[in-house]
Amino acid sequence: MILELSDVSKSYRQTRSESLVVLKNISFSLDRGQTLAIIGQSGSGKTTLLSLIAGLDSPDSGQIMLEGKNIAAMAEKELSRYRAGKTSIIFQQFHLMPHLTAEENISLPLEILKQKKIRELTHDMLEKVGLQDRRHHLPAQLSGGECQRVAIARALVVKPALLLADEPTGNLDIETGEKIARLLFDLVEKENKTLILVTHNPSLAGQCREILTLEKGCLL
Amino acid sequence: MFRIGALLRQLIRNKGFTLFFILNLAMGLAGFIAVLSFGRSLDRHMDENLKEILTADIELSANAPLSLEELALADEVLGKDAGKARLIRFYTMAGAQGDARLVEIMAIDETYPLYGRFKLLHQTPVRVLEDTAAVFMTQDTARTLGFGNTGEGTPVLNLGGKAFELKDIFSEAPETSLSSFELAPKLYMGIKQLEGTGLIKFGSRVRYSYFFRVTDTTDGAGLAQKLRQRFSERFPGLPRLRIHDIRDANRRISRVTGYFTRFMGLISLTGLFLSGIATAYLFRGYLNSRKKDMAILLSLGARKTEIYLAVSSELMVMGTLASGLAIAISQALIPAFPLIFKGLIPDGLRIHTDAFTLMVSVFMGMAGSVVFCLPLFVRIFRIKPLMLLRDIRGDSPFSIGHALLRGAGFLPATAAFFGLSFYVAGSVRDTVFFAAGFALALILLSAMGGLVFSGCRILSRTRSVVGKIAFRNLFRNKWASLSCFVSMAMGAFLISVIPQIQKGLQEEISRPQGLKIPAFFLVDIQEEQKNPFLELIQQEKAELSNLSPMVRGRIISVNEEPFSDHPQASGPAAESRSHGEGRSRRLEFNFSHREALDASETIVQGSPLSKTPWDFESETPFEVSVELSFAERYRIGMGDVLEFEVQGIPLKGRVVNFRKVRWNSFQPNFFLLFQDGVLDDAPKTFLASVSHDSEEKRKTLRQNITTAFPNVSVIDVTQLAGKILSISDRLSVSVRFMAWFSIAAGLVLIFSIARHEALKNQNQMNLLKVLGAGNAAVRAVTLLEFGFTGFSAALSGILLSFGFSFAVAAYFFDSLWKIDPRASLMILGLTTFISMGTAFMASRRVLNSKPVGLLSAMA
Amino acid sequence: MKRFFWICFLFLIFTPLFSAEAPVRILFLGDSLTAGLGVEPQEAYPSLIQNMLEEKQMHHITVTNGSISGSTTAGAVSRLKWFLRAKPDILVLALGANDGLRGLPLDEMDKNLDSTIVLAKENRIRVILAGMEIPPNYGPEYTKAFREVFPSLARRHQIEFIPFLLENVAGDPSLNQADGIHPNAQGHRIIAAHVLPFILEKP
Repeated sequence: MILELSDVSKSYRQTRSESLVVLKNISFSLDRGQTLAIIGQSGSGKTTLLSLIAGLDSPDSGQIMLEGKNIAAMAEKELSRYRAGKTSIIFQQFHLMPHLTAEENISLPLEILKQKKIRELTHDMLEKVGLQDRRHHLPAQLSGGECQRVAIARALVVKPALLLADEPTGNLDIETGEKIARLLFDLVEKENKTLILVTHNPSLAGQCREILTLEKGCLL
Repeated sequence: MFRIGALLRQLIRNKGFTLFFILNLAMGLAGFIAVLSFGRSLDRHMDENLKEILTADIELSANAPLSLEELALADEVLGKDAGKARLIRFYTMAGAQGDARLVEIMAIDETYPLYGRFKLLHQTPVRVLEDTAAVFMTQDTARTLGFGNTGEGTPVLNLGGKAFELKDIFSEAPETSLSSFELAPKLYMGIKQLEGTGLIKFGSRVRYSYFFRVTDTTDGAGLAQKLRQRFSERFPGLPRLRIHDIRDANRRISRVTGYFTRFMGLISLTGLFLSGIATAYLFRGYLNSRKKDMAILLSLGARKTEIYLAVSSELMVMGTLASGLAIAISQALIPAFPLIFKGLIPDGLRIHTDAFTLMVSVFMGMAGSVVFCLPLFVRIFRIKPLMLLRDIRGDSPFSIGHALLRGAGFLPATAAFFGLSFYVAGSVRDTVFFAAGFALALILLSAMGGLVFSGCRILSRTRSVVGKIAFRNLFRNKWASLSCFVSMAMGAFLISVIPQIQKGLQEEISRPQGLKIPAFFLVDIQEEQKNPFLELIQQEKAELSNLSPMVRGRIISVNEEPFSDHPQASGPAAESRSHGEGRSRRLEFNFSHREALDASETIVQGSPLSKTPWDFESETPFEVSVELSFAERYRIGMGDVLEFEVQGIPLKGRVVNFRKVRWNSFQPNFFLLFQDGVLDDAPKTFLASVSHDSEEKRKTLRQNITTAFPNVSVIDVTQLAGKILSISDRLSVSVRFMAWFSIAAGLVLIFSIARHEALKNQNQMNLLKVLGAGNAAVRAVTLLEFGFTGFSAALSGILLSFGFSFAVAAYFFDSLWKIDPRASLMILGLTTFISMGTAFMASRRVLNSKPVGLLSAMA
Repeated sequence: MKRFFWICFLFLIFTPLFSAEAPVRILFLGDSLTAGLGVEPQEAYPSLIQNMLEEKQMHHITVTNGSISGSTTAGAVSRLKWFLRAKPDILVLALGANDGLRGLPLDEMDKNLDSTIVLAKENRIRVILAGMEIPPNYGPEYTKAFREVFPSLARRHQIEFIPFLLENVAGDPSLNQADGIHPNAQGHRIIAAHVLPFILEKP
């Protein structure tokens, strides 16, 4: 068991008196090597759920056990330390450093985590996502698909226990989206990673072994 | 068409950013409103001081009454509603025959003085002078004229053929006569009472003064200049009238207050440019953040002009709010300033914000948004809806057309700045000088910034992760970093120009250290009187601060060219000094010699005069030391050979050094000093200055000198010295205060920029955090980036300011320049600190918050 | 030694190289009025007198202007001593105006001029005393007493006397500079014409 959520609730304050309940008593667990898609309509709370799992935000109540530790109870400082190396996120907007080359973007988390053999790991990753020839290009010189490949490589290079993806193909055309999805699942398979994917693209969700559907903050 | 409603909605929707932006801009502007208000109030304060010395804004004087035609012309130029007063002054002998004393009669009308007032012992109304045959004099004068006590009856003084009653004793008269040394004590009487004295008739030597108080006192010097011009047009030939404005009230003060005005002008210009930088920088940042919105609007079919109008009206609304807020803040703070800065600014200074200052701030806020938008509008042309499909990014390839268009976009902003600087500086030449300097600095700092950020590539090859990330960011982001760098560097540059000039100016105007202020000047001591005089001084235990031989002669030629044809200097400094000397050219000068230079003199160029007495047999010219301003005025160069004529003897000298004389030293100084031996045998007199600590003893000293040496004129300079020193103290305090104050305001600007930059940087901090960087690492990267940018920008700005302030000093301030390492270090340290501190605060906000913003639905 | 060379200098300047008659040197000892304050040196009346003499073919007469602006009678004796080295034959003594304008004691002025005249006479110099007046604003007593110093000195020493140096010039704005006290070039021409006859008159 790599991840276990129990009774997780989250609400956002909207005005002084009322607050919007986004997630209500969510509980589920996930085994190592699993792939999970969280689907639902816009506003169903799927991105919030992802942000809680990623440790980017904390729930109002409930437990989120990541590799046996409750990240919901951690303070921000502790959390950021714990988060490093355990989870990686792939964003819809890619969020690459615009001034760094593809290669540098991939090696950045390794540098931050002060890992060794950065060069080898990066090259290895570049090869895996098929961007060896484009490694000296800046994000602006890459196509959307290429950017997302860099983002995937960046997420995987630190060998995270849990890989999170927020609409990874949302910013791409269908054809490119499919290619990226294929690459992502191939890599998850090959590296035996655990993946949680948030999307409203049913075909993408269909490639996961498990699917959770959210509606108005509740699991169906 | 975009309606106001939509616009406001847009602003309210982004209220966080709108508020931040408005506050930031208001802070920058408030600083400069305060600087401008202070500077202009101080300048006005000094003007008022000078007005009280002249008792008017403009004085016309002549040795005969002004004709109706002349008065009409004065009215025409100065306006019919100008306040007027009249004064007739002349010397006469007063007192009993055989023991008569020279006095100066000041016959005044009922409106005199236009500024200032009498301080009278018995508070007698000044009207008395007009209605009755009465005089006012000082206690001292009364005593010397033999009126021991004013108590016993009313003392009567005969002047000409008329008896005048001594009605009151004054301790201070409105005019302190700074234009000339007081040769004789003053007696005040009414103009009407002159009738019957028989003192004014054909051949009398009388000066008629007409004083004017104009309604708009902003440009007295300009009015005086205009008057001079009109008079010389209407009455060609040698001018009969002397026209003085307050700056002419005293030559020495006028030079220094001239510097002061220029310094305040410089500060205003600096303020103007700084607030311009701040506004432009913030607007630019705002526009960049709105790029995406603009692309959306374009994709929805909006026309580019509409977008431009929409965005610039958004900015205009925010800018107007910001300037309104800035005015409110400054108006709330300014009344507190005299209390906060008690002792740092002159007493009695009334600070108020004038129309110009308000205009500048509103212009910056409102019109500034439109003109600063223009260069960026060109960028908007390059925004394509396509951008929406991807992350907003980068620049399309470079094209000359766009570059030209962008350049043209800067024109209105440049023109507006030019206009404002012209208003502040008052002359096209000064404005061009300043604008060119500014442009040059901009170019140089951009180049320096480029170099610095390229150098970051090397720095980024470090093993330290933090250093690697920070420097790589700077190097790769160099175009974005550059605008921040240049803005900060320009800020540091502008504010550090000031202390250099301030330091030089300070040295010039401050009270000379340890210098004894003389009480009397003694003129016309004969050679055979020299030794008895020295004995007397010793007996009286007075202090002789200077005894200089004085030989009168002419300058015949300069480098074989007749001196009378020699060109006189022109230029702003020379002009301000020599106008009013429109009379015939001076040909006779006093020469002197001294064993050692006076404490108030320093050699600024060349070597000291040789100590060996000059040999009359020698073929070589003797050595001459020339006072700097004299050399400049008559364009005398180092090594020039001057031919003199001393009592029929032609003598040749060569200029070996230039001397600078402290303006407020109160020591007899000479334009030309000769080598030892040259003047030994020439007929000469001596000029001495004497000081005495006790006021009582001063009186007896004066008495004893006049008795022992009746031919020696004793000129009392105590009052003059006191007045000039008090003005010099005020100037000095004000200059120092303004310098520090503008540095503080400049630092506020740097804070605004850093804050804006830090806000922009939050995304990167978030990302680093998500990628696993710990808080310490994120903070370290941020601090290093900002610290490095702040430090290198300040360093570049300061280094450049050394050169520029030197040029400014040479051009505007007669080379009053002094490096001020303390201020420079302080600016460097504070800029770095502010930049880091601001970044630290911003990073704290990010680090304590959760980086959810990166996720799609939260963006 | 130095002194010697000064004297040599003076001789070089004051000795005409060729002259038919015995050379005659005229020394003007005066103040700014005679020094020509505000006009070119060649426009001052002593220079004009030199020119007039040249025109009259009196090339043997040289004029030295030993006037100092602002000078009073106090330095007159020492200044005359200085010029004695050049052996002047005629002294035009035109001092006193500054004493008057500065309200200095008149008996001092009298004493100073007296000793100057005595020194000149001891050195066989023919003295022409220029009378001075001060403006009426100095009060009737003082102006009168001042004016009388000069004729009484002239009587006492039996010397030639110019009643008023600035005759027909003082007080006329067209003949004076803007300060109202110093003659302009035109004023100096009138003074020269006024003074010349006194010089030409043989004692």
